[in-house]
Amino acid sequence: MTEKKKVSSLKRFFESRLFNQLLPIAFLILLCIVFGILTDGRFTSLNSLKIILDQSLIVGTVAIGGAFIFATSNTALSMGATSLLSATVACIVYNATGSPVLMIVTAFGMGILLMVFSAVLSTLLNVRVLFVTVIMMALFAAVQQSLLGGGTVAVPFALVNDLTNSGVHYILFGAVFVVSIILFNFTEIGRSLKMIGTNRVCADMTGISYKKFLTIAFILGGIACGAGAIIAVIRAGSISTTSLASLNMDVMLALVLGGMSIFGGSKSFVYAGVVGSLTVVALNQGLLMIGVDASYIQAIRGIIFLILVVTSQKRPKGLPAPEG
Amino acid sequence: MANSVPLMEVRHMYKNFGVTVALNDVSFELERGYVYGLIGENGSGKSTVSSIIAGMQPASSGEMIYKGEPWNPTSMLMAQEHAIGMIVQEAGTIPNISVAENIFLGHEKMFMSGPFVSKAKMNHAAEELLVKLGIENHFKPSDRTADLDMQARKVIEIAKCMYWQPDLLIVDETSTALSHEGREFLYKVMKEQRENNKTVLFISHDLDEMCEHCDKLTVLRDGVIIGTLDKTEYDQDVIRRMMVGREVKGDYYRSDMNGYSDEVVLKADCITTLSTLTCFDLELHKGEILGIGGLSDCGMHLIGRALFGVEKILDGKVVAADGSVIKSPVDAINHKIAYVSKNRDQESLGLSATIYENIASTGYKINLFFANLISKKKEKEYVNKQVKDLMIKCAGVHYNVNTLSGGNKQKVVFGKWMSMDADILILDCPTRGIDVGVKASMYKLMYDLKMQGKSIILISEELQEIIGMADRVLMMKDGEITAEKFRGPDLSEHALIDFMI
Repeated sequence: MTEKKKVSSLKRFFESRLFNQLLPIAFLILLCIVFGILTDGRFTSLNSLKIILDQSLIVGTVAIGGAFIFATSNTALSMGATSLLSATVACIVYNATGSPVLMIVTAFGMGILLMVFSAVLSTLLNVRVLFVTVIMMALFAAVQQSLLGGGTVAVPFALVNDLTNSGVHYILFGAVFVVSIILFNFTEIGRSLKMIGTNRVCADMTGISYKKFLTIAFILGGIACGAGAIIAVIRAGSISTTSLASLNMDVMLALVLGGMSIFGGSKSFVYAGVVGSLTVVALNQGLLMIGVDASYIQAIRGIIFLILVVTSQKRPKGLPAPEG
Repeated sequence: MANSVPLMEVRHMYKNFGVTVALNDVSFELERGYVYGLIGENGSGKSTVSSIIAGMQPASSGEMIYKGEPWNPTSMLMAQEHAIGMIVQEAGTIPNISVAENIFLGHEKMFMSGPFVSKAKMNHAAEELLVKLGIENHFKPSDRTADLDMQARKVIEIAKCMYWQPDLLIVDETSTALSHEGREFLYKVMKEQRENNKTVLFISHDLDEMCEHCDKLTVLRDGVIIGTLDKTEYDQDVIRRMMVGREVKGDYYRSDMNGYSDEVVLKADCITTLSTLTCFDLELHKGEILGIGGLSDCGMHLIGRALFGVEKILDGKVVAADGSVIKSPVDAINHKIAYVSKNRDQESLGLSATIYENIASTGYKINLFFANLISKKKEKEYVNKQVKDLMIKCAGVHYNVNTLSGGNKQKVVFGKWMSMDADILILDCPTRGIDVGVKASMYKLMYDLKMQGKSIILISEELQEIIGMADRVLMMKDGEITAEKFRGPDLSEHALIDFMI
């Protein structure tokens, strides 16, 4: 009897959300151990780990914002392009004014503006977020190209140095993370977004306005894009038309690897973006270090994404419901 | 009429869902030429056993013998090929295709004309079927299913099932979605099955209906067969006691004649909707249970939606007690109006969210500890109080709602509105598909709420329920009120039915 009870409580743990949230962390640790062994410890050296941490800052920051949007069961494809255009305009503004404060304000302003523009188009025209953001992705990239004319915009090395030394990129990431955790877990925003993702009609009939909360999700997504844009400028010192090319895909991969369902809803959580972005970067870095060709890495990432999406699509068990 | 070998034999069947035991050593036989009834409370295992027979899911152990051979179906399609047909509880038609396409779903190959499916051939075959069943006047094979009402869609499912001329027809909780006319059609189909030496396994919550149409009744409770009664032994009180396991009085409606106040708390002022309602007026009073009855397409369901701000109102307005206009569910909820939808799973619950998340969803602005920050402690109390008060049967509040039985799901919906302390409840078919035990507790709850001065609109297709609970009854037909009656000993089904047809 006790044996049986033990088994069932173990089973319960495996089906619980806690397990669902711990699994990605376990996977990340396992990944580090495997790559550590395969690279004779080069992968797990302090220096290598710091590189991974630094590289995952951009993806992590944007993915945290993305979690708010993905929670509603919507897929936003324009977060990469939004970050890129925000970063570009922020650099141009800095070069014109010489004010780092104005640069940061511009990045946030652009991020929010561009994301809200997408949200308003979606709710006003009643077109799915997916389609609107596909168009926005192309549109923002085109605007960015015409701003740069195919070239590069760079900010002075001294600025990059100052910002890096004062840890602005860490501060931005930390602020976005902490604020997001609070908004997602301790205010009506997170709960409402999850309810919308679970059943939009039911949410509407429980007084949770889709338009209002989708706009809020996009504002928060925009803030994350703005923060991501500044971190990108700090890390690279310059922005070209090919910068942040894989950001949007990385964000989606990170959220799924972090344990969130691509279909949002009740199983959404913000730190999926953080764990996931570390995993994405660790995977890239590890594969590179053991000598896998860059083009193969893309393919491997694609396959992993596909597998995760397919498994998270698993239909709920126990149909029909165990009832009379 | 019965043959010596039973059509279907179920031996020692067990079924577990994780820790829940749904069936516990269930054995019975079904012979040809009978209508068998399966009755029991929600969660007693009725749907489970029938879905196992129909191949929707496997049993954990036990065996089935069908026509003298071992029966281990792997899919509903396999069951269909072996002449076992099932009409399921939840809607099983696809909205955006035609009636004929729904009837022949998955069997389009029968109508191939070269590389294409011939719609003409399909429609023709469907037409023949509809004529054979005597329902050709209700809809055409080419009609888009989404344009038909719930009742017609259910009739399509019955037709779809009957096309394959099943030897064993399983009818699971279908009649709750049907009004008078649809039920008559279903009964006719069942009767013909019996006359053709075929078998019906009928599942319903409606005791009257079960007693009238079943030759034998098997009662299930908590996955165990309590007993089987022959038609001569039917006694509703006995059956109820077998189902619930304790004494249940025949009358579980309220018996008082308490009135209500004159104060109007919600008013529909000449509202016109996209369909059916034209300049419709209604007043709800404090402490009143207002019953609205009629056929399912009479517009009564629209009224509930319009009052809650879901249905688009073209002209006129819905006015709350303080004079403000209700235009959206947000407005309605701000005025402490709650709405329990007829389409529970689609509109009132997040099925893949937990019980906790569903109940807590009305309290985001209530369970705060500082500014807009939610207090988990208060939220937990908010949820647990309802689980306790309403006696929601669940393994824990962090389980998904779709693991619950129909009655318990409905309790979760009630819980989410009770917890926010709504003053006005709009209940659209709140006891549909719910067993007597839960029904009785819902009626008790409605009465208690009335006595606390809350107001209730009870929209229902069951006249008995309206007569039993309402202070005032409005009968409707074609979007208009045809009669207004008040609570009293003279109020009877007979007196009301003429106003709805």
